[in-house]
Amino acid sequence: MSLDIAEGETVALVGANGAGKTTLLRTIAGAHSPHAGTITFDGADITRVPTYKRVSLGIALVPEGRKLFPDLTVEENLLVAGKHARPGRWDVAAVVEAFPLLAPLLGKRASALSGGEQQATAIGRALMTNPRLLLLDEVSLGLAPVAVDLLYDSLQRLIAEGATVLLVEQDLTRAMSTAGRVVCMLEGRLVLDGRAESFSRDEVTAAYFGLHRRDGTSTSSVPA
Amino acid sequence: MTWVNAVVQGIMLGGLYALLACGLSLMFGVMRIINLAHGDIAVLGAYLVLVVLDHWHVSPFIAVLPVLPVMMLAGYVLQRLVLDRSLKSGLLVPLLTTFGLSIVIQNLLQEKFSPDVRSLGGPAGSIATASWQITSQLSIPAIGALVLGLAIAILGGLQFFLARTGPGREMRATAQDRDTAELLGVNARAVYGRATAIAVAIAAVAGLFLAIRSSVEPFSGPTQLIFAFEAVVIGGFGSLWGTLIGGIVLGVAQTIGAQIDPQYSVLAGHLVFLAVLASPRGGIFRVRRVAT
Amino acid sequence: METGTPRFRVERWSRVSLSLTGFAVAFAVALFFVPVLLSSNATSKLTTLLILVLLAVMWNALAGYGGLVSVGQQAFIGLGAYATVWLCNHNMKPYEAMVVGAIFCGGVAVPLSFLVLRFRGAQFAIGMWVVAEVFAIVVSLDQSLGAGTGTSLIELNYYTPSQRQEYTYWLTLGCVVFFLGLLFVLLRSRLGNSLQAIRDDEEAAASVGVRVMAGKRLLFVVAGLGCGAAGALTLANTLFIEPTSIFSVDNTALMIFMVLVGGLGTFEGPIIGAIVLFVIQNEFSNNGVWYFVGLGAAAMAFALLLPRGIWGTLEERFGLRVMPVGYRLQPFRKDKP
Repeated sequence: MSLDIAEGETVALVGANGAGKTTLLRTIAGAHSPHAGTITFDGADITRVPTYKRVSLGIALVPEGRKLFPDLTVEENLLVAGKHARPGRWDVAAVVEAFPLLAPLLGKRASALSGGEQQATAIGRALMTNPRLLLLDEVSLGLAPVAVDLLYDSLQRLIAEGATVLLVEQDLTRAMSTAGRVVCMLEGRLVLDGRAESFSRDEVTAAYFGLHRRDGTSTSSVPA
Repeated sequence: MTWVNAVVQGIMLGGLYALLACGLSLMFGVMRIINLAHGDIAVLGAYLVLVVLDHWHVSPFIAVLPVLPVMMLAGYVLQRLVLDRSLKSGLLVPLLTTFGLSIVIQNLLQEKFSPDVRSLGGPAGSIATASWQITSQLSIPAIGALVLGLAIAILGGLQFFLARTGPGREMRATAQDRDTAELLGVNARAVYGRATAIAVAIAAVAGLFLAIRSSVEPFSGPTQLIFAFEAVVIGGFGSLWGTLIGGIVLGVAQTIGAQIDPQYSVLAGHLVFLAVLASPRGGIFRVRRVAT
Repeated sequence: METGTPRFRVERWSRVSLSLTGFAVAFAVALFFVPVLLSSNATSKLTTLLILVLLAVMWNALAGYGGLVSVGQQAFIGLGAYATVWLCNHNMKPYEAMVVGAIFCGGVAVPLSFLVLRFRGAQFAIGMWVVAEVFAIVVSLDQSLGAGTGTSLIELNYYTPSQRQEYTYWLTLGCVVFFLGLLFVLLRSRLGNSLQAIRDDEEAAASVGVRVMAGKRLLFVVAGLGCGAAGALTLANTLFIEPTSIFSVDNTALMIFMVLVGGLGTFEGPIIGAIVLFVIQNEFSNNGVWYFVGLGAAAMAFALLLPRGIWGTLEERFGLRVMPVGYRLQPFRKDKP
């Protein structure tokens, strides 16, 4: 597959489980090495750059399942990320401002937080690195709808400030209302790519299940 | 009163065991590696001090100062070259490579220095034999108090490092989730290297005091490793202060065993260790990750 | 896609492995005639080699098949030797005492397993080492067993030296054949599969009903039995033992070397490793320190660079399987029966 993202874009990456969305995000962040192909960031080929160096380039991933450091406090989680941050406006105070629910929780162990609090911390942690490209993997997974609402409110503010975001999201409605562009993956390939408003929900769902092929050929078997 | 004396001596001995065990505990906490060459590294540290003393007539406490950076560098290299590769291959390989390393170190020491027993008690001067006489049956050896104090200081310092400093935080984070730490910009290999360097340096200090308190010979390593490991297990894996308690319990077990019969001293320690292993809790402190 | 005709069938024996196994069995039978055909010096050396094979196979059974790295199997080696001495002190015939001594070790392994098998990884490794140290200390405190200075099996003097060598050789060969056969049968049984599952992922295996602890316990007891036998046979072969050497962790060093070089987790690997060590011992043991440095360095090199050992690498490269302890997936051909 080939994907181009322009600065300031918000791209929603959708697709069924196993389509390869998390793998793609992790490959961009450097956690996986691609078998073939290249990743270019801001004109430079970063395919061989080790994981920990990509943060200084400006790539930050909020991993699936949040992956906070359980025995570190919220503040310590943030500070670990902050140590290798690029210069920028994000620090602990800014994160608390963006996610006010974290204010009383700074000294609390990450393992003791609720799902929504953990997710906020995880996003805040990625932000601490002052990223140019923010990769979000299933941030609404396992959260109560109210928590997801709060999260997306904060996300909208970030997007409004001009962040470049690539987010993986199972909830199609949310994805299409948050992002300017929608990309759908199926079995490791791109099957849909375009402006969010140019697709109906049904069209995206069809692409999700492989009923809509980019090359125009007829369908293969449809999973239940 | 001799029993009280035995307990006091045991506590002092425990300080040495805690110092020995500290590095082992750190490496396990951060990397989940048990370095089977740890005892030999401590002995190597003592021999390096001897080398320094061969060239300059100073106190061993001064001689150890140049040895420390050498050992730290060696530890860092050991991690980057050998242990890092072992980590990728699963849990078996680090045990096997460090065991091989242990054999190499022991035999190289025997080759370079003779199999003779060496001691730093003499060069250390009067402090090696001084003691405070409390009662006619109770005395506190100066060197024992020094080692215990040093053990507490080093453990405290390490705890502070881990809890309050940036690099320490990174180390704890990497210990808990290496992959995620890397995604946040932490160079995990460098963190591991630092942990090994610290562990090796502390082991060298322990080796120094081992040689002052008693003696070393090229094959003393494995015995010290067993004691260090026993201290860590008794105190509970992953807790630095547990290592101190574990060392003290082991030391006291050995000295009380010795009171009953000198031949029983090491055996007593082993039996306490096995008893702790057999107990449901498996350790005085619960197993926790490297954390405050 | 058609249903009905299977595309693959599962096979255990291939032509190659059938013929090679047949050859191995014939070779084992031929080995029985060695004392008759070769000099007594050769017999004695071959006994040493066979003891090494036994040790390597046992350590591999634990670590390669059970995932249990033990740095303390010398506990059983020493226990087997000293149990034999004790039994002979109590008027048992030497060769009977060796067998009973080995069985005693297997017996000790059962309750011991309840203590040490609670641990994995390094805790198990060093826990076993401490057990060995405890055994060593207890033995060295016993005067009737020679205490710290060592002992020998004077009852063996009833036999002439060549008789002793012959009987020792046959007993050793019998043990090796027995244990190899036992392992072969175990690995081909359900236990074999569950062991593979345990090695790969214990929790997953337990979740599908694999009796993890029973499998490990069985391996631990078999290894205890085998190492005990090796200890008793060492006593007969070398005549003199002392606690510091028979309970020494160097025995583990040799076992690790053999298994790593030969191929951890393979059936044939330990045998290869034992042969390699035997050759090295004969060529280089006069070099003292450098011999051990070389062994240690080689173990490290193999662990890091060639973790599958000689046989394991060959197996992987060429798809070799001599002793069919695994399964092969063969494409189904209509013409084959």
